[in-house]
Amino acid sequence: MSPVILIAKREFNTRVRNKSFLIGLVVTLVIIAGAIIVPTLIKDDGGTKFAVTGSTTSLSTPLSEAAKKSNVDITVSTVDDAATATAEVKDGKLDAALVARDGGYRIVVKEELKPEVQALVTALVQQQATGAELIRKGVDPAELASVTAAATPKLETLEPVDPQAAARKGMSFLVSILLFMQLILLGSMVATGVIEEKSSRVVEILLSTVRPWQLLSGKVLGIGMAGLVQLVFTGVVGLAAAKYTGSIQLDGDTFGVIGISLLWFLLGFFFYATLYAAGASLVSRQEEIQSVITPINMILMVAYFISVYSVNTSGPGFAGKVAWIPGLSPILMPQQIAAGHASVAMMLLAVAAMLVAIFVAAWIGGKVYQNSVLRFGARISWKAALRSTG
Amino acid sequence: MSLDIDRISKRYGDVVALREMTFSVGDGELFGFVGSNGAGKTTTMRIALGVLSADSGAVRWNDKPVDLDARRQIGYMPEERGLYPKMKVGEQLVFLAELHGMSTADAKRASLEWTKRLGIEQKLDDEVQKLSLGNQQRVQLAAALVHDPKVLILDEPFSGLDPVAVDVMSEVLRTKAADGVPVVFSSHQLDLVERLCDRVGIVRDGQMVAGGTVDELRKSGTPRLSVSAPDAPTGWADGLAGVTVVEYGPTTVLELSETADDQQVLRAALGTGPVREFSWAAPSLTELFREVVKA
Repeated sequence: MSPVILIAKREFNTRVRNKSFLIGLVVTLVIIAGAIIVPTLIKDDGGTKFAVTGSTTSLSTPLSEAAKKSNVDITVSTVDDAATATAEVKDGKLDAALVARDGGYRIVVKEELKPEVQALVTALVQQQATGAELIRKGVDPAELASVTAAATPKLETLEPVDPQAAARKGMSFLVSILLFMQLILLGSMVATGVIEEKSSRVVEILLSTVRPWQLLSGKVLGIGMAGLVQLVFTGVVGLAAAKYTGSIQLDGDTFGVIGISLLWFLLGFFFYATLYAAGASLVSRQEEIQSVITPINMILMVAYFISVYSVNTSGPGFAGKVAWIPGLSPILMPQQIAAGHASVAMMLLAVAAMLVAIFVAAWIGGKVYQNSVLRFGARISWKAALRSTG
Repeated sequence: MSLDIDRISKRYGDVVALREMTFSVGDGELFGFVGSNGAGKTTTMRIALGVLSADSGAVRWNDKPVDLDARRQIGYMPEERGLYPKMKVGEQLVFLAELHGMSTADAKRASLEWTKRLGIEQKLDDEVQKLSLGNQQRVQLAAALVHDPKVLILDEPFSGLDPVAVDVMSEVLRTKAADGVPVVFSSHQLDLVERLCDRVGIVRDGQMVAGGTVDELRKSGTPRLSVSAPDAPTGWADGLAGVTVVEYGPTTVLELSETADDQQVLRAALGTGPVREFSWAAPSLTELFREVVKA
């Protein structure tokens, strides 16, 4: 077996068998499943429970019909009398009741009423009253109905509504947070692994039989594969949860987004892993790890914050302008694609730029790693590591 | 057939670590590499293993430059011991053997065999960090031997070993040499080197300053005259023509120039009282080492 494969295999096995890796995976899965399932449980309040009683009983059917037409979620029921209605509102059995009192109408609620429900009921009551008065004054009911129908403005949308908008938004958020977490997590795994070999000095034995680039690529490959497995697991659980709640539709688009996200994960991982490894090779002790990985974490954090900002804006926005930049792209591109903002040309440009960046990172990172991995003791500067040979 | 270190030089900035370091170790030969700290032993070994690169010079094995393939045939024990602390002994040895080009089956067989030979076979499933220091050393030796190396380069293999482990290590080195493997090791325990090695090289300031079999080296040193005269006061030999005093003590140790007359020394000694011992001897390796390193 080639040394790179042997090293990758060792890394993979070591990670996958590690208790904290498994615990981390389970925790992530629970969080993902929870994040998808819980909101749908909370949101499902069944709409406003609305009651009519006494003289308002006649409004039951028109109210249900009007609610359906205006897409307002309410269930209309009939209650024996106003006192019962009030009591049931107080108990929380009902959200609101329409009662006739003192020659007028009252909507009885405990604390507040959804504005759209209030508007709907108000309009209906007013319309009924106006209609009754006009008929009493001699207006033909049929004529009145046709006039009312003609005077109802219809909604004319200039752009077709995307029925998937909410799902896309959720997906784009999920994709960016997962990629961000995974890249940070695996990056620090690579850094820890490099320092472990350095601080335990086993690197000297390894480098007496393999070349530095082989050790580096084996490590990056092995940890990358472990991360991919983790990500695939997370994806499967996430999709299963989403399917269960119906919040994401499992169609071609969704799978496309997942495929593209995995591709970007790999691109991002190879880029960042090389940087993390090179950074880690500059120090000799586990305690110094923060000083070298923090600057790299910062780049990822910037990308993540841009993506979070972008999730909450409509259209590509700022993220759409910078998503192609290598280093930011592994998080921003999948997010933009999931949100439905990125074009194919943009995607190709970003991939090309990223491949160049990976090549440059591998070249510089490999050189830094090679020059510093056998230099023990005080921290080596990036500059010194790039300059020195042997 | 031999391992040849041919005029390798290395500097770290302004510090010269090696100056045309040269020696060769024949097949089946045990070569002891001695010198003060910082003399260049570790640097030489690291260069031989390709862990460091030399500024100039070459390392050859069987008249061919040592490349990565050749290095896979070398068993190496670095001065700073190194193993994966959280990896199990057995898995680690198999991994290292495979990395040196062994098949998985051979690697498993060899790691079992070496752990048995070194008395740590019951530790195969333990993490290295959980072992005692002595057992970690044994695993380290097993790591250097598990891939059936054709050359052994060991940096301070005896440091930190208990007497039993020293015997085990010596035995293993002798056996490997008897199998025809060139063995180079560095050590500060000169009595061990004297006992074990066929040939010894003494390094000072990055240069080989003396080399040869232990006997040759001892003969090359200035012979010393030991005089045991119990009643002689300190200073009794001062002023004798051509005589340098190495030390006074129960036995006085002297060095004589070529023109000096040992019979005159004997007469002076008899003048102080009885003389119980009067003998010429070659210096021990330790004495020689001090002499060479001081010069």
